[in-house]
Amino acid sequence: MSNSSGFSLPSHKFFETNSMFLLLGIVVAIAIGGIVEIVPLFYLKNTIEEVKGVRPYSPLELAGFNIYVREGCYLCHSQMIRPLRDEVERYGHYSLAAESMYDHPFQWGSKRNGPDLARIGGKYSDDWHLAHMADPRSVSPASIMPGYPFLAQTPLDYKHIDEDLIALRRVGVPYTQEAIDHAVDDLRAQGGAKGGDALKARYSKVIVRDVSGNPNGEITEADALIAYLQQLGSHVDFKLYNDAANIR
Amino acid sequence: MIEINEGAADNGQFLCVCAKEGLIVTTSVAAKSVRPGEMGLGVVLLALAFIWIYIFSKAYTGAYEFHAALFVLASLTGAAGIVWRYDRREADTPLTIDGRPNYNMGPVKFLSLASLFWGFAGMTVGLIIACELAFPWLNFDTAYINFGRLRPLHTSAVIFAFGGNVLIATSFYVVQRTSRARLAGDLAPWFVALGYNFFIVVAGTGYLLGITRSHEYAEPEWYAIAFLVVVWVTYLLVFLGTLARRVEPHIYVANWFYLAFIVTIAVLVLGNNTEMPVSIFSSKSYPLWSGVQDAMIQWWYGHNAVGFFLTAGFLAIMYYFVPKRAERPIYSYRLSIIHFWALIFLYIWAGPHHLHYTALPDWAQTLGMTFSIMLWMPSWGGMINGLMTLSGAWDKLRTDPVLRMLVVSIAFYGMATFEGPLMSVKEVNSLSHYTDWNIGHVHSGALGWVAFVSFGALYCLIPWVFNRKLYSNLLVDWHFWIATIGIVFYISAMWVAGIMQGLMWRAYTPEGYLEYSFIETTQAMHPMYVIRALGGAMFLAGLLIMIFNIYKTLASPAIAVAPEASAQLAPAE
Amino acid sequence: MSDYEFWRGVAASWGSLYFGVIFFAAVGFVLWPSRKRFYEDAAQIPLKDD
Repeated sequence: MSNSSGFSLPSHKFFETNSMFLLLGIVVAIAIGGIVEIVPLFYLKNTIEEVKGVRPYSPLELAGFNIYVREGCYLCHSQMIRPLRDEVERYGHYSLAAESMYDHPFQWGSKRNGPDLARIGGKYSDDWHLAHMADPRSVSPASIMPGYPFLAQTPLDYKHIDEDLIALRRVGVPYTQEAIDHAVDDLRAQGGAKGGDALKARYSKVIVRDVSGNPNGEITEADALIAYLQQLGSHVDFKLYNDAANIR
Repeated sequence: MIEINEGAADNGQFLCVCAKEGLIVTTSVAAKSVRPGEMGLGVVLLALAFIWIYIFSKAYTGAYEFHAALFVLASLTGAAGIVWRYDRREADTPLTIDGRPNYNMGPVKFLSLASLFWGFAGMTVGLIIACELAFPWLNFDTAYINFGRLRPLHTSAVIFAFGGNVLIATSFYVVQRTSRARLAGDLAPWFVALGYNFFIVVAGTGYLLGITRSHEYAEPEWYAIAFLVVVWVTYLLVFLGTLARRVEPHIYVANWFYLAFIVTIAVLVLGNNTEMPVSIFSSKSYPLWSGVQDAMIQWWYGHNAVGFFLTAGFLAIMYYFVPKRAERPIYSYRLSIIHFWALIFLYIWAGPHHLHYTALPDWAQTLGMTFSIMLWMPSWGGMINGLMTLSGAWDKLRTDPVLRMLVVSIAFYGMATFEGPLMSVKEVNSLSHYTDWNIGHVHSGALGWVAFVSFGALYCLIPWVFNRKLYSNLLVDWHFWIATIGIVFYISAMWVAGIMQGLMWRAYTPEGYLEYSFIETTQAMHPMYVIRALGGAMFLAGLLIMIFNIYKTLASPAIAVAPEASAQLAPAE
Repeated sequence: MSDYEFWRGVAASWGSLYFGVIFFAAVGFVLWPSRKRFYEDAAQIPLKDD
């Protein structure tokens, strides 16, 4: 037992001999930094730039996004172009916060074993993507990417895609009731079936085509993933975007 | 030091009570009754089994069906385990025996051996993915073992499975010894030990089946996390309950670090797992936040998983095992207080340095960088405190390879916590980010600090709790040197790869064009990736030596400490 | 924007001072000579046998 702290000042003995206050002290100490850095991001208006064109994913693109997540693509490919000269020249305009505002979860990534994909949309043909996924080294001999031939052979499971849209609406993505009601139709339409006009009205600039060219008209996982990749970075028209207005 | 086998200790107490009260042995045995906790947990587990049978019947995917089946199996096994244990346990578990605490070392034994298993599994997967990067045909064009699915398995297995088991094992040991009290709870410690390992099985198999949230180091889906939260809160309660029982007036400094680790991980996991499941019948969920907010919260989590799991937790190990092994008190207890509060206050701010030059607002990046640099000071305060504990006893490093492992881990800690602030400077980060420099930095901390301090602690802990003498110090020496050379290969290869790649990405020709295509930088990495895999293989070889050493230790006869201890070496609880 | 400017100003002046004072107070507290024995006792905990 210690009796040395009987002096006038209170002492650290307080924490050392009282586990509940130690617990409380820890909680207070760790709360400050988190609160200061996170909370303002939700109410400072300039956190996300106001830009035109960013829209929620179409059902097929969303299915592709989920395959991108499932296969861990973010572990080797970033989707965040930094405002550095070489990156802007290599990949395109630096990424805006607004461009990932409907990404639940965000796919910025942290490591580039392969190139950034934030603006991959439209850079290569669908056939290139299909060949690249089936065997990356057939189109890029030095690539170290794993092959994903199974994607083009696996039919996409989209029975419950409307539930995905409902869950996303609950977390704030502005899907209309109409979009949810027609989610399965929209997905089929984007894969090449009929009904493309209603889809195009709901999702601006949406690309409609049967990518994998499956003879029996089946939509595969590769269709979905390529639909997702081909729209990446194409929502914002940077000819109309004012950089200077959004310097933070 | 006297280590008492708990089964034997129970027996000793039993006889002692009987003698004092003049009772006959059999009357005491007849008094055994079902405890409320056994009844309650049994009912909960059976209910859980029924819920998961229902989910199984309607699950959307085969992968989720598999997990539902795992949950059913685990719940039923748990319920059966309660019955099994009831048959074997004593009627009454005394808190003290002859005035000495009746320590509960069963869960510690299980967790320490589990950590060796997970260490082997996690590092093996690490070696596989290192080889996949060097030789991509090793992905075999299949879903289940491609890099994208194995990489989270590697990180989770080494951090949360290996590291987590070491942390829970040592915390259960240290909190008992420094409080001089038996672990709180009857079934609770076992629920924590087994529940945590079950969570790991669910998370790990999920990655292979493509179930992931894609938040790095926070990939498990909603149902796995929901279960983890229950386990973790129980862990916190066991820890606090043991502290509340303590005989020592002080709460020893190692326990503050453990407590900060447990509490902060709880806060981080809850904060980073706010998500909306698609359906109870689907493994899929969508996080509440998106884009920039999701990124900030993820790296607030991610960096503090480093800060509080891989740093605070293992510093707790340092603050107990280094003084214990060196048989000297910590260099400065006062420094440890400043170290503690400064470290936990500053660490929590450092997350945004993972998002330099991204779409995260500049003010947040600047805060992250500033606090990361300040963090250097408490980190080195801790390092000095650990290293200087050896002052006046440096000769022990020559004779005790276990202590050498512990001390070298602290040196690696110092190196990694110098490199970290350096890389958090925006100008340095513009080069290092997205490259293998990060991977090298992480591994100098993970292999040099976390794994070495864990090995050192396990070399102490396992002989202590199993009441054995370590089989071979020479094998520890071999482990130490092979692993150290492996680390050097690993991190120097990654430094070269990372800096080279960063420079190649930003290289311009005299005409002002980008000099290298991306694929040329990939090609240039190949030799470094081979060397890295070699370093990793050496590190794994060191672990195999350790596992052999521990196996031989456990196979050797127990040390006779007290007559009652050698008389009955019953398995723990 | 004004929110941001305001808090930036606070962080660079009174905020820094506030945390600085807390830090030095905490260090002073811990190093106060009369509590030396208390800490020396605590440091012995792992080395005690039971």
